[in-house]
Amino acid sequence: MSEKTGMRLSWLFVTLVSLSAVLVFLGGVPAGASDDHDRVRDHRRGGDIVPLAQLLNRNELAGSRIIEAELEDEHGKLVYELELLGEDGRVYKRYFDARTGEPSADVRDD
Amino acid sequence: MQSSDNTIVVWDPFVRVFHWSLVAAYIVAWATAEERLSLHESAGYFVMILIGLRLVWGVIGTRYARFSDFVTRPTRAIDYLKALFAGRPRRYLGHNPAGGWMIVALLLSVVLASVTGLLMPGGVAGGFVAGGEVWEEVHEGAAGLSLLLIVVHVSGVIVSSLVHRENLVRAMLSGRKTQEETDV
Repeated sequence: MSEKTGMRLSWLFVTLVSLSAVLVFLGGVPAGASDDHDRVRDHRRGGDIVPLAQLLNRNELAGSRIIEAELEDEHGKLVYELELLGEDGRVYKRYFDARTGEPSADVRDD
Repeated sequence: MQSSDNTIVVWDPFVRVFHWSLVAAYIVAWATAEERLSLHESAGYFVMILIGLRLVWGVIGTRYARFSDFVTRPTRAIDYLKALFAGRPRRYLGHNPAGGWMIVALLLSVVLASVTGLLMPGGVAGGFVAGGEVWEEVHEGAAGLSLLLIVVHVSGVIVSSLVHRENLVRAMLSGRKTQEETDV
């Protein structure tokens, strides 16, 4: 390999490094995907929060259908926000402390 | 690439970019070690890509970048170290025999740290392999080992710079070193 070819190839490898840096550090989230599930997954792995499934077995949710479930950060406190369709046909929200899985009284929807 | 001031390019652009990118990724990885989130993992992936490219470059690359240039018999590294401690080591334009083995050790420890990061609980492959916490222990052990190796590596760079009255850190930035007749 001539010296000139070597340098050209070397710059090609530099380009590959730059491209992979952009890909790895900026393109970490696939298009269309939110990082919400990563956040939830990391909290779960870290043991910060109880599984959502644990809440769904609670007695006070019996008879209700879950319309939407969200994990929210309320001023540093992790809270599950469940949107429910009750037996009476009304939609209402319930909040649970994500750390303990117990109902959270001090969080109210704005 | 000889120039008028008697210097030649020893470290080609990729070798230099690789070196300092690895340093940067390594610092990011330590700084985010306690976070389970993306930046630490991104640094790990970047390290793996860097090393993958370096392994290829070690086979097809420029003269002093090739493993064949600096991976020698261990006895040569020992002889070199003896000469170093006696205060009269030969000057190598590329890696000296002990430095060459340090490169191998650094690459292996960093590969071990990044791969076990994938396998440990919380890693992307953590749910699919047996071993669990053991991988986390190895991950942390390999990270600690690499830090130890870096301390020795930097010490070697300082000692070599002093013995041969040259600035090896600057050489890793500019790529250039002064060529002397007694060089190996």
